Amino acid sequence: MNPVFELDRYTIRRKLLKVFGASFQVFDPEGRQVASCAQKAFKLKEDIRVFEDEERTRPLLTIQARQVIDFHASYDIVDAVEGVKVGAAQRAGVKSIFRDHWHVLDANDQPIAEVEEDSMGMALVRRVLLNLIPQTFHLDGGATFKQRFNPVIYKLDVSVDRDATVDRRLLFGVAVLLAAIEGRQDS
Amino acid sequence: MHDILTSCEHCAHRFEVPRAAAGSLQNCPSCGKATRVPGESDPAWVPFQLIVAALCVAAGVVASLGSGPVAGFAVGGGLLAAALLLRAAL
Repeated sequence: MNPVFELDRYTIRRKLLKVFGASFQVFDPEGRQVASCAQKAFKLKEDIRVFEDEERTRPLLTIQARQVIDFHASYDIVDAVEGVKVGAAQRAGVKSIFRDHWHVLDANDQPIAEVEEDSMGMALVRRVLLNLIPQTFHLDGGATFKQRFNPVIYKLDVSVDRDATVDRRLLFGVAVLLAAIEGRQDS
Repeated sequence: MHDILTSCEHCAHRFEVPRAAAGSLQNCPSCGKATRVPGESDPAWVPFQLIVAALCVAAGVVASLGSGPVAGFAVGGGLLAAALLLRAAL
């Protein structure tokens, strides 16, 4: 497995001044860039690619939506090196109206973990205050995703427990999805 | 619900997946690589397509009432063709 996936802590940062699509950089705790992500523009089905390098020559993961209508959007996460699906993430459409909620599925689409916004109270306050309060998500398989307070640049700190039960590649994909999909609501 | 019979785009192995897996990527049981399962995964997609088709026909009827049947056919048919082209591009 690529050493990027073995990091316990990393930060995903949305690049500014991107006219079409979206672009993200991933940094390790020492501030070194370890990956970059590109969200394709003009695609009705979300298509996000994660690369090991800034030049985008060494792909790590591909994340592709199954649907065009994304109320219950499911995203398949594939290890681009091995060409193997490592799992999927499915946004709970109705629940997420009030509090963002995702189901994390294994390679056979069986639920293995849940990702949820920290609390219903805070989730409702965020919706009233147009997401000025940073979001925090907890994954019950052993990870926390914490958005930094920064109204200009979206940054998401990811912290993975040592004993996390979920595949690290899948966790990485979920973190990128949260930054790309939930982070889009802030921009 | 019936399963879907699909074939791997890498090794051509044929295998069955549950109907719920339509439109998703699944790992081939033979070579292990992810392959796309044909079909629509979103149950909302079929009624959405029907609504779009109905709106195209309705636009054609409105245009024909205002400017005659040729204009109605052109507007309705044009919108329907655009929707089909968009669908094919997805």
